[in-house]
Amino acid sequence: MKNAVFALTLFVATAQALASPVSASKVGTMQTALDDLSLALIDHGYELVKVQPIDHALVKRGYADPGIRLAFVGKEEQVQQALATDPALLSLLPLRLTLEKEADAIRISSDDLAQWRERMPSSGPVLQKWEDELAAILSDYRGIE
Amino acid sequence: MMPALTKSLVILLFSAVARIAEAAEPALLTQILPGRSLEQATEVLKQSILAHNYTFVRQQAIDSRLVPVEWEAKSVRIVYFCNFDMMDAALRRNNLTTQIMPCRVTLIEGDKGTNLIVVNPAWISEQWNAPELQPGCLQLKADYLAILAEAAL
Repeated sequence: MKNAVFALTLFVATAQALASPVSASKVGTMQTALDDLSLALIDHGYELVKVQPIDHALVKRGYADPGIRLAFVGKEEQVQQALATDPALLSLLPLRLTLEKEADAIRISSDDLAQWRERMPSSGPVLQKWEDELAAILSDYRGIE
Repeated sequence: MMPALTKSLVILLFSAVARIAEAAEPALLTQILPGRSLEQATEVLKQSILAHNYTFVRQQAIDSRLVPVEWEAKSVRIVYFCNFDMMDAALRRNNLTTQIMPCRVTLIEGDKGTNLIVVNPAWISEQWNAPELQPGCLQLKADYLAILAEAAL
């Protein structure tokens, strides 16, 4: 009984630990972060589809600066992969990254694709591929001097 | 008699299972617009967005900027919109909410009409372990459903 409870608890804890977005942080400004992200994207065959300057949009309308921008990224084959696997995956494209000011650094985080893998197991391999690619891109972002 | 540690683990396990069982939110919200082309569906959706106090941001083909403009998909489009008051309030609470920003609807034209697909913010927020964000996400879900329903009228 003890062993079974421990194993199940470990399973739940592991599942919760896995369900966290990919992220990377390094010292810089929003502009240098976008420049470095663009380079990392190109190296992995991705395009920067659109930057959504939420910070500018809110400040322009009299709200506080949240220090947040969104970047939508992707590559052509993802559309084909979504259509071939499950058209519902189109609702995730282009993939979203959040750029967030943290003192003198910028943290970039992806959406939580692990949550989608759990809900759509048959699309798991495609979602895992996208998540792995985002992890590699953010790892490169962290490493670019 | 069950040892205290085992008892705690059993309680933890049952609460986790209960949470999973309660997770009845669908991942996606969908609405079919029978007989509507992509262009027609986009127009009624934009009207519905404005009618529900949201601001239209932009529309783009699903593969915009991934392929030359002349090759862009003609049957799948994304419409983005937002409400700046809600965006400001959400970001003041927690930056996790960027995962549901800005609002977006994916439109897919098929033989019978155009399907509108939205990622359910109430489902996304279930994973955040932040109960204080759930009411706002449920409100956003209700707004999405109202916008989709009005577009289908």
